[in-house]
Amino acid sequence: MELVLREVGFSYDRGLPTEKAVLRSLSLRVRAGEFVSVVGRTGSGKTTLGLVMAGLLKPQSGEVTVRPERPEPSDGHGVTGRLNVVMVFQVPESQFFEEDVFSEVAFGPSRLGIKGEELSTRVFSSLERLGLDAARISRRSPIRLSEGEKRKVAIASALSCEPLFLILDEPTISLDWQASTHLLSLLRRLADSGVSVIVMTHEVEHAVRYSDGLAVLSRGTLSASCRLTADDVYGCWKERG
Amino acid sequence: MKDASLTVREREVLAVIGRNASGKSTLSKLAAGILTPERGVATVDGLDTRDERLGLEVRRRVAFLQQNPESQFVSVTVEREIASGPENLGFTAADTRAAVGDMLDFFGLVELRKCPPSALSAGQMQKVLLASLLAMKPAYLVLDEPTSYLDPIERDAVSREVKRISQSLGTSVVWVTQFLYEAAALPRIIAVADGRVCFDGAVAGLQDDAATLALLGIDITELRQDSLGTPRLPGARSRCPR
Repeated sequence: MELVLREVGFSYDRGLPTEKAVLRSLSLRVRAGEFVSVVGRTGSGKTTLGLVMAGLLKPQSGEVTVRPERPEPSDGHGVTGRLNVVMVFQVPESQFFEEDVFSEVAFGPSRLGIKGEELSTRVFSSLERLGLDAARISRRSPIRLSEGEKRKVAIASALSCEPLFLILDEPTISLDWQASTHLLSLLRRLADSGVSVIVMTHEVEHAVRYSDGLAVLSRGTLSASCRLTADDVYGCWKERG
Repeated sequence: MKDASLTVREREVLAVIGRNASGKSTLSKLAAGILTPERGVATVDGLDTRDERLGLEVRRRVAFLQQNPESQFVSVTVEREIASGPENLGFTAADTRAAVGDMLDFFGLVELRKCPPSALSAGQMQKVLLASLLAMKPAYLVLDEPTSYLDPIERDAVSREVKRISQSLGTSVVWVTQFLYEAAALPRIIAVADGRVCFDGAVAGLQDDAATLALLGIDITELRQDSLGTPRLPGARSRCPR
């Protein structure tokens, strides 16, 4: 399986005097089980790119496809019980709306038609894959957890949809040094288990250390390589912005 | 916080580090008079922060900056933003104008003065917010993770501004950070763990203090490699990959 972006373009305020082109004829290919980091400065369009990859924004030109195609539930009640691509937002609180962790993590799969025992199993295994103590945490309010736990619950609620591709927008913002490296090691293990991990970040050293490949986002396009060093990325940022 | 004691001296710049939920943010809010202690006492130049009648006097002396720049703007242009603090403190119109002009010059923001904050990058926003705080001429500046939302290049620029502030304006700075290299570049580090101040001294002392490092969850090998080293921000010597 691979996620392919072919000459994708996206502008905000399209057709208005305030139009701002964020992505310009951008192409990228992510294969199953790869850990790819998209490194860009603040304002470079990382979040927009993540939203486009996740299908939350439609590209205005070009296309985003998952190949070979897998039946995607069209009405939220499909038969597969899985989603191809899921995105975890930069601020975990912005995606929480249930009163406890169990309901939060169960929300996605329950929309996909998963019920009863199977639903519980999914929720508990998603929490446990992230190293969370499911029994301790599942009845707590997600917004009352520590920063690191919130981040993990947000990821668990994405994983419970059993995605092929998991996109994370700045997953280490507001995490301390230990929580950051712990989370990245966990994402590395997820990728090794077959889930493709795509991290949008400006933490260059982390990206270099944990990813299989790096893509530098600047001026709306990507330059990608599997052998970029941190110096290469900073050089690119300074040259192109 | 539990039995935490700390003195910030005039013209001093110090870092506060600690893991998530260690209490470092609470400590900074107590220092800034935004929170008041339930036990013990917090004073600013001898003024007790619990005394509501002294609130304005405390405000004049201590300014506070938060993590996320976008959550802090109150005005529609850079210039108005910088003016808002002095106006609220009752500066005269002439003094406000002078303070705004000084800060626009100091931070190199003259050309951006009519810009709406939404048109700025995150790094520029933090500079404008620093300018708006310093326009009030505080003696102490408390920064609660001001670089968290910034990329490494913007982080570096804001760090340099903060050092310039203390050197040129003589403002004391309490700088809460989760980036160890930022802390390591400052002469004094306060480490907080489980609501207590567990270290107060120079970086060399921290590097040799295995027990405190363990308490803080800092891996000594990490620390030697890059986390507590100099920020790895090279020039543009590498070319952009195609």
